[in-house]
Amino acid sequence: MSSIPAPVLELRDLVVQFVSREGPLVAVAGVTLAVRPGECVGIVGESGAGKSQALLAPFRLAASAAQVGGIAQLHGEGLLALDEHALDRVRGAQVGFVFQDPMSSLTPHRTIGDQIIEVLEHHGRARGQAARERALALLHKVRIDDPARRLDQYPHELSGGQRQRVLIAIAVACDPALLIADEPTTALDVTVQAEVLALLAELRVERRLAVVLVSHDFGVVSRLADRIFVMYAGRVVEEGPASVVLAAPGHPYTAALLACIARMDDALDAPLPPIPGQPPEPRALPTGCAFHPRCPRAVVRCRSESPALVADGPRAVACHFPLSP
Amino acid sequence: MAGSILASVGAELPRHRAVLAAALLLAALCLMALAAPAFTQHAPDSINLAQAGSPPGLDDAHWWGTDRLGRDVFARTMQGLRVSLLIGFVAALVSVAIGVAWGVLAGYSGGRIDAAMMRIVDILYALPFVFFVIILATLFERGDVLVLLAAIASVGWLTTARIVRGQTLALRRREFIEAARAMGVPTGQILWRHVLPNVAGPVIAYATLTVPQMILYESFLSFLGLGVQEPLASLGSLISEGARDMETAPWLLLAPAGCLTALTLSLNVLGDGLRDVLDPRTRP
Amino acid sequence: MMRYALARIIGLIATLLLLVTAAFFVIRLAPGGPFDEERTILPQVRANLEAAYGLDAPLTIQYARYVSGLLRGDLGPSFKHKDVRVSELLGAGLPVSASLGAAALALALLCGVPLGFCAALQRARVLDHAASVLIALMIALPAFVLGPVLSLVFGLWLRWLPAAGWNDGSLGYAVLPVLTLAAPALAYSARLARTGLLEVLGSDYIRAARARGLGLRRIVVAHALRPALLPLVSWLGPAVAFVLTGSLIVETVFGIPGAGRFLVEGALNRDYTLVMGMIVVYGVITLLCNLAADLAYGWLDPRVRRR
Repeated sequence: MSSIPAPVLELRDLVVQFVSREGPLVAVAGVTLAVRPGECVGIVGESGAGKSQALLAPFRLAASAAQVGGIAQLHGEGLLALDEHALDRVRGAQVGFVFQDPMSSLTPHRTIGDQIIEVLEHHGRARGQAARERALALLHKVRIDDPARRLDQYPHELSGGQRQRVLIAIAVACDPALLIADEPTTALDVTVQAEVLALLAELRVERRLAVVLVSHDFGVVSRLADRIFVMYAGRVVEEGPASVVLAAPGHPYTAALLACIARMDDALDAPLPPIPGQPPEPRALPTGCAFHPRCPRAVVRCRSESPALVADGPRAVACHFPLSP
Repeated sequence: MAGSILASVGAELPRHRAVLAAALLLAALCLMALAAPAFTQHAPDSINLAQAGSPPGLDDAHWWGTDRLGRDVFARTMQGLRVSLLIGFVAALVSVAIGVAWGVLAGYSGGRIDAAMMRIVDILYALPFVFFVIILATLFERGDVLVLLAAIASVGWLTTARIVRGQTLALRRREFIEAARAMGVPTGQILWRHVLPNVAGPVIAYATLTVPQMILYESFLSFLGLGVQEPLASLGSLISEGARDMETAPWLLLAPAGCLTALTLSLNVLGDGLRDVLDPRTRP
Repeated sequence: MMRYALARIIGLIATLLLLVTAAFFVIRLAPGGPFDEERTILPQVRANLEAAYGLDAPLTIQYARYVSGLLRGDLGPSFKHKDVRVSELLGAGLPVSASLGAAALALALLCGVPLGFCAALQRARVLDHAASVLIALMIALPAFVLGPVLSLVFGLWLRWLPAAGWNDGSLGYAVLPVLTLAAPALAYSARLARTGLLEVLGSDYIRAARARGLGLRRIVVAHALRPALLPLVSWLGPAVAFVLTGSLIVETVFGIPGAGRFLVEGALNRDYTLVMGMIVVYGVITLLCNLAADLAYGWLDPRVRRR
C-alpha cells in the first residue's frame, strides 16, 4: 500500500436534478466515489436509485434537462465545466461506455466495421486500411466468431450477445482509461451474461482499465467489483470492499438485496420481490432515512433524522443502527 | 373511460395556448355560422341587381359586400360555412365509423385477414383516390348531397383504420382481453365492451383531424363544380365563384377563402393538440 | 434485394389490373352514355355509332377488349373528341402536368426537408416555432384558396407575375402554379422530416453515438439522417397522388393546358375511354413512384432488404 495510484474518475458530492414543470426532481443527492486504474467499482441499487444518472450525467449522457452540481473529475480535471466540444474528446477516447440494450445501441443502417472504424478515425487513432485491421483485431479481442465476415454485416444480423461484444469493442477501441458499463448484461441470457462479464474482467486486467459497473443485480456486481457502492433514493447507503460488503452487509437495505440473490441461488422458483414495498417516489421522499418505510429495523429516530454515511472500519454505512458483523 | 379521456384533455390541453386559441376560433366560427341568420337582415339567396357588386361597407348592412347578383356576401358565406361544416362533420362521422370498424376487425382478427385488409388500405392510400371521388360525384345526379357525402366519406377512413388496427392489435395481447376470451365472452361483446372504449381516445383525436380533410374534399369537389349546386352554396363553390370575379370584386374570393382557412386551421391545430394528449404513441 | 424488387413489381401489376377493373365497371354503372346529349341524332345513327365504338357488345366483352388494347399500349379512341385517340389527347397534356407536378414536388422536398431538419435541431427555439406556424398555415390552405389568392395578390394587385397562363412553362408563368401546388406538400415534408429527426435523435443509438464522442455534425449526418428520412420516404407514394390531385385544381385556377381537365370533362361527358386513360396513366405514375419509394426505403433501412 505504498503508493495508491491517482483515481481515474472522482465524484465528490455529485448532485443531479431534473427541472420540469412540477419543480426540480433530485435524482442524485450527493454521491462521492473514486475509481483507480485497474479497479472495478460496482454500483448497486434498484431502478430509480440514481446510479446510472450519477455516472452518465457528468458526461452529459443523461436526459438533456439534467442539471449537475458538485465535482466530477477525470484524471484530476473537472468535467462539469467542459463544453460539448471538449466532452467529445473525452467520450469514446478517454472513457468508453456500454449501455443496457445492445439491440438498440448500434446504428441500424451502418455495418459493424463501419461503426468501429468511425470511432478510430474520429479520435485519430488509425485511418483507412490500418483502421480496418484494428477493427478486425478488436472483434477478435472480444471473441466474436468469424470477425472478418462480421465487419461487413449489419447490426440486425447479429445476436444480442454478439452486439454487446461489438459495443464493448467500440467502447475500448481508443484504449480509454475508464469503462462505464450501465447494466451491460441485463438484456442478455444468463450464459451470455457470464461470457460478457468474463470478457470485461479480462479487458480490465490486460489494459489496467478502470471499470464502473452499474447494475441492479448483486449477482453481476459481485463477480467483478473490488469495491461496492449501494445506492438508495439518490444516496450512497453503504460502500466498502466487495469482500466485506458481500460477507457482512452493514445496511439493512444491502442485507435485503443480498438475501434476494441468496434465495435465488437456493431455489429458482422462490418468490422474487424480497424487499417489501416499492422504492420511494423521488418527489415524495420519506422524512429521515429514505429506507425507513421498508426497513424491518426502523424506529422513531429513523423517521425524523437522516443518517450520514459514517466510516466503520474499511466500509461506510448510512444507518443509525448498522448491522454488526 | 370517457371520464378519463375528459380528465386528461382537461388537464393537458389548457397548457397549449395555440390549441386553446384554435378551440375558441372554431367555437366562434360555428356560433357565427349558426347565429348569422338572426343578425343579418339579408337572406343568402335574395337577389337585388340594383346593388350588385357593391364592396364591403356599412351601406344597407352588406358588411362583406354583394356579389354579381346583389346577394349579400356575408349571408352567403355564412350559409356556405354551415353547409361545409355540416357535410364535413357528417362525412367525418361516417368515415371514422368505417375506419373504426375496418381497423377493429383487422386488428382483432390478426393473421391473414389482417394482412389482407391492411394491404387493401395500403393500396388505396397509394392511389390518387380523388379520381374515384370525382367519378362517383359525376355518376349520379349532380349536387345530390347524399352522393357527395358517400363519395367524400369513402376517402377519409384510411388513416383511422390504420390507427385503430394498431391499437387493437396491441390490445388483443393484453391480459384482460385474453381473460375475457378464455372465459368465453362472445367476440362482439369483447369488441364493444373492451376494445372500443380503449381505442376511443386516439379515435377522437383523429376524427377531429378528419373533419377538416372532409371539408377540404367537399370544397375541392364544389370548386370543380361537382359539389353542391346553386342556389345552395358551400365555401368551395363560393371560392370558385369568387375566383372568377376576383379582379373586379376581390371580396367575393377573400370572404369564403378566409373562412375556410380559419376553419381548417383551427380544426387542424385542435386535432393535433388532442392527438398529442390522447394518442399514447405520440405521448412523450 | 432483387427478389424484393421482383415481388413488388408483380404486386404493382396486380394492383394496376385491380384498379383498371374497378374503374372500368364503376364508370359504366353511371346512368347515361357518351352520345346522350346529341339528341338530334337518329336512333339508327346512334346505334351505328355505338357499334363503331364497340359499345353494343356485352360489358364483359368490352372489358376484355379494353384490357387487351391496354396490353398493346392502346388507350382507345375518345368518344367525344371526334377522330382523336385518347393517347393523343393525353400526350399533349401530360408533359405539361408532369413538369408542373415534378417541379412542385422537387421544390417541396428541397425546401421542406431542410426546413424540417433545421426546426428539429433548433427544437423549441424561434426557428422551430416559426416553422410550425408556417407548416400549420400551409396545410390549412388548400390549392383552390392559395392559387386564386396568390394570383390576385402577385398577378393582379402587385403585377409582379402573370396572374394565369402557362406559356410553355416559362419561368415567370410557372412560379405561382408551382408554389401553389408545392405549398401543402412542402408543409407535410417539413413536418415529417422534423418529427422523423426528433424521434431518431431521442433513440438509444444516438445516445450511444454521443457516448463515442462523435460530435453533433457527424452524428446527425452519419447516424441520424438516413433513419430520419424513413417516414418521409414512405409518404412519397401518397405524396405523388396528393400532387396529382392538386394539379387538377392548379391547372383549373391558372388555366394551364395540362391533362387534369380531361378527368373532370371526361367524367361529365361519359367519355369512358378518356376517363379510363387518365386513371390508367395517373395510376401507373403513382404506383411507379410508390415502387421507387419502397426501393428507396429498402436502401435506407437494411432490415427491410432481407424480407
